[in-house]
Amino acid sequence: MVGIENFSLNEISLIIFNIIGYSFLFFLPKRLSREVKCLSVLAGLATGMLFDFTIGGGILDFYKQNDTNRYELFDVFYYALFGVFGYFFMYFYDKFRVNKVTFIYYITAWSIVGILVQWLFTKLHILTYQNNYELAYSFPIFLLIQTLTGFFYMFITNSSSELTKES
Amino acid sequence: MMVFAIIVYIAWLGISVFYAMKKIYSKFENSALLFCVFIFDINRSWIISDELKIIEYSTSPLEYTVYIIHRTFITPLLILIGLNSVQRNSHFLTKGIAILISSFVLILIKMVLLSFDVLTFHQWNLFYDYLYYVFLHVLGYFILYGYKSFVSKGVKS
Repeated sequence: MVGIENFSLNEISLIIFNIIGYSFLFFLPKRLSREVKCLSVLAGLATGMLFDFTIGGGILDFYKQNDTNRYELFDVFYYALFGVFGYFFMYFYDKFRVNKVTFIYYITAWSIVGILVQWLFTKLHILTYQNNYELAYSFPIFLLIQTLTGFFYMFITNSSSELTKES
Repeated sequence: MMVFAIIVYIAWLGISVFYAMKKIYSKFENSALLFCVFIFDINRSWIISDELKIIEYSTSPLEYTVYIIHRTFITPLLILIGLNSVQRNSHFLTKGIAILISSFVLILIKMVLLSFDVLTFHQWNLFYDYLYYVFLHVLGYFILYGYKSFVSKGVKS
């Protein structure tokens, strides 16, 4: 484990992204219940960490976060951004009243957003691909994980509407 | 191949048992618990194995997959099952015994991984693992308490 290897563009970018992201999270008009909001952030963090610790490390080690392959302080800032994306995913899911048909467009759009953000992260040296990994390989991962997150959102919000009816 | 079959079965069993069991906590609480335990455990396993090299995992693809399945599915799910198997208002002692039994089950699974050389311990032993699993259950109760106090406060569940 290392603290900060080299404070440069990637670290500064992560600080800015986190400030912007979490400002939106706190100041956007309230749409989601406190429970869904909490779970959206946790789901984002968990799915992000799942893939980064699985394909971004271990024997696969397809990409490097920040300056080293080791766990460093700014990796935590990088993971924290997944929480913001998890929140935005569920926020706009609710705002756009996504249904079975628009679900297809919604997931496709978010997967493209994911690819664009990851491309930006490589340009800012937050992510560096290695072991022959390419940006395009991330698309099916985004597609899968966002579809599952969509199902998870339906699962938790259905239960909350049932609860409202019961109460 | 044998260990892969065993661990996939245990993971499948964990998912099935959790799906079928009568859950004490709400969907929200269980989801928060699952994510928090998962986030904590995945970070711990990375630090212990990849940074400190206290526990070494096999680099053979199949055995590494076993390690990933164990880390991703089995540990968080078994903690969830352990916590959901005791009533909310049970006596402290009952909860304590349930934690000890649940942690023991996790240790048995760890013994399977050790016997098939999926994991190798350096400056680590099963007793430390047992203490860690007990801690993970206790952490689960803290997460539930925190969730109830800060998130679901005022929300009917």
